[in-house]
Amino acid sequence: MIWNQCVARLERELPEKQLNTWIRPLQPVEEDRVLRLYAPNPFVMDWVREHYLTLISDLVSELSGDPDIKVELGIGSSRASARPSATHAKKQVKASDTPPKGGFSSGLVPGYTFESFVEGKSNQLAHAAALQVAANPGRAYNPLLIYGGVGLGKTHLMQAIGHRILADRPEARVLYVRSERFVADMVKALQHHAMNDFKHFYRSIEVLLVDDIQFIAGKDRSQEEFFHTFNELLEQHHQIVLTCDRYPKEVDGLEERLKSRFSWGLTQAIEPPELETRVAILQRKAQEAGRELEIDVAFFIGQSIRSHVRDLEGALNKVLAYADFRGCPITVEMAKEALRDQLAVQNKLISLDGIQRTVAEYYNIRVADLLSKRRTRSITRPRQIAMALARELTNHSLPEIGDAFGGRDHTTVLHACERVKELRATDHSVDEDYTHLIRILTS
Amino acid sequence: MERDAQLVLALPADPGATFETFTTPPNEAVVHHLTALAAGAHQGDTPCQVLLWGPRGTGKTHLQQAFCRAAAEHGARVALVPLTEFTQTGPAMLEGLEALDGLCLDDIDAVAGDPDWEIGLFSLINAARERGATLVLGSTPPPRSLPLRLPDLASRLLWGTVFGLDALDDAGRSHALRAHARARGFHLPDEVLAYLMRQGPRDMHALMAVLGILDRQSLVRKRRITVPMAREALTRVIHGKGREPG
Repeated sequence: MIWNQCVARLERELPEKQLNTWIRPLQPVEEDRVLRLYAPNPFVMDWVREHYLTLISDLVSELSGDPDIKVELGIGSSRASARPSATHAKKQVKASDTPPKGGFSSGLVPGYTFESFVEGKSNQLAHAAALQVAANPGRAYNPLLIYGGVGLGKTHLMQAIGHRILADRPEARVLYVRSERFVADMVKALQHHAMNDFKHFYRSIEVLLVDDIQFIAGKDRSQEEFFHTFNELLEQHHQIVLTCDRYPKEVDGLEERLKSRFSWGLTQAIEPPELETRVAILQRKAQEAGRELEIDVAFFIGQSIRSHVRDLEGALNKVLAYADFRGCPITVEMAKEALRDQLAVQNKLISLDGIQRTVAEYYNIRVADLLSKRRTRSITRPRQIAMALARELTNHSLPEIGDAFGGRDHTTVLHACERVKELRATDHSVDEDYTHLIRILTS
Repeated sequence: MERDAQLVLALPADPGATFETFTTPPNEAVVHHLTALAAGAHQGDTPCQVLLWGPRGTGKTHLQQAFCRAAAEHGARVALVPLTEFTQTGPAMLEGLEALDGLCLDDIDAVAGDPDWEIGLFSLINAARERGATLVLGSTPPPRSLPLRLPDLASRLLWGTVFGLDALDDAGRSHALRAHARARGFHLPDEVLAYLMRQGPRDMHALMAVLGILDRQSLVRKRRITVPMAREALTRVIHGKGREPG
């Protein structure tokens, strides 16, 4: 292939850096004395045209011995598109002359099924609701909105609904789309004067799964369009499932009428997994990778990584990579070594000092207030929460924590921890603040 | 000197970053992992993600270049985007990159904290995952210390396998210099190596620049490398004249 020879020559003539940024991403299509090079985006195409096209054309003529061979630049790719949109499909055809395979695509990622979802206390209600929706789409809860922090399994549950419905009824028009994609598709449709296609496409979906709906906030035109799509689908008893990173009423820049629509069905929270669930998740993921993870190793990783499932997955991957490299069985010692840098950073970050700063910032008070003798409620409450967080997130002893909070007695710390526990059980806002702070400190 | 410089330009440059020139002991696991990923990238069916972090000169960029080279040899369509160089142009450079088989995004820290870039990276990681592309990310600080605004992006950076690269000690630096000299096809005598270790900078980028000058000098002068040549090269690098083109 002439392009391969050309790249081999460019490897000698251009610095590696330029080669990797501008030449290696080009995809060649050779036909009838024309070498067409597809760039992944207009930016790369323009740069290549300006800086390398002459060089490439000369090389191609020289190597092929044909002075009339033409080099043309375009945008696109011959790999099948995973993006299921009317406008995108159109652009794809225009750009690369290769139509996307198979027409409609659900956008679901294989593997995100109910079977591979690990249920635990933190997600059981959301899991149950998702199962209901999958069994009775358009009837059980509509819309179903699952909210919670990053990496807790919202996307997994949402996609599991889609997979289950498709398994039951393969011809169902199920579409998974991230909200930014919805926005981007709409912008493209507007640019290409294809809004009717866009509307028709989204309004013909039977099960619409929109991930991370918070990203639509502040985008008025998209919200307007989504509002109409939403109404139309609901009228036809088509199912809508949404996810959001927080309680939707708290999303700034989201229109009131959308917030109100979202609460028509069921809004269900998903919490960070507790230790047992983390251990179960690790064992399941290891199994999926064809490996066995001893329970003590799973507990070690689960105890060390407390934030979210992606973090757990990352830690497990690291341990598996080490085991592969060493060719030895996975033990706690080995896991410790594999995760050494990660754990060091995490422990360093969650210091008493860091907790005090984060809590003070969160409640808009000064660190000095936390350490002071002041006993007004606006200070004591954050102080108690900070102490409880120190107890939960660090390995410091009660006297050490007391010392760090202006030389208080360890019984004061103990009292603070108990008080916070009580408050979390009775006062929703305290519980939410606490969970939020843990998320900030551990992610 | 003029003539010397012209001759030098006509000579072959750095033979390029490979995994073979990155065999220093503390980082063998990462090389092993990346080699396997590079060999599988062209199949593009399993999403893989690696994040490399470590101080300047620990080899993040080298490993990404080696990944690109190895993956391209296996027929993959790849790119390496050093984000530092695109901070002014905005995230337009990221558009459509998920269509590649393998993608390296270096210097994530250069754009952390910028809302447009963060959304761009977030969307790209999602799309790359959906399409089964292999992603290699580079960052100077560890991912948890990046000043990110978007928690969604922060969690995605931790998703894959995170490797902290260790800065090389003297033994590691000697080892690396020898390996690079070998790859360039010349011998670095013990006394020159000892001189560089004693007098030279500890920063691998500067040491590599010295090595580049020595390589060209030995070709131009058709002589083996000596300590005075190393001293001269060192002075040039310290005074900022020894940078490689590009």
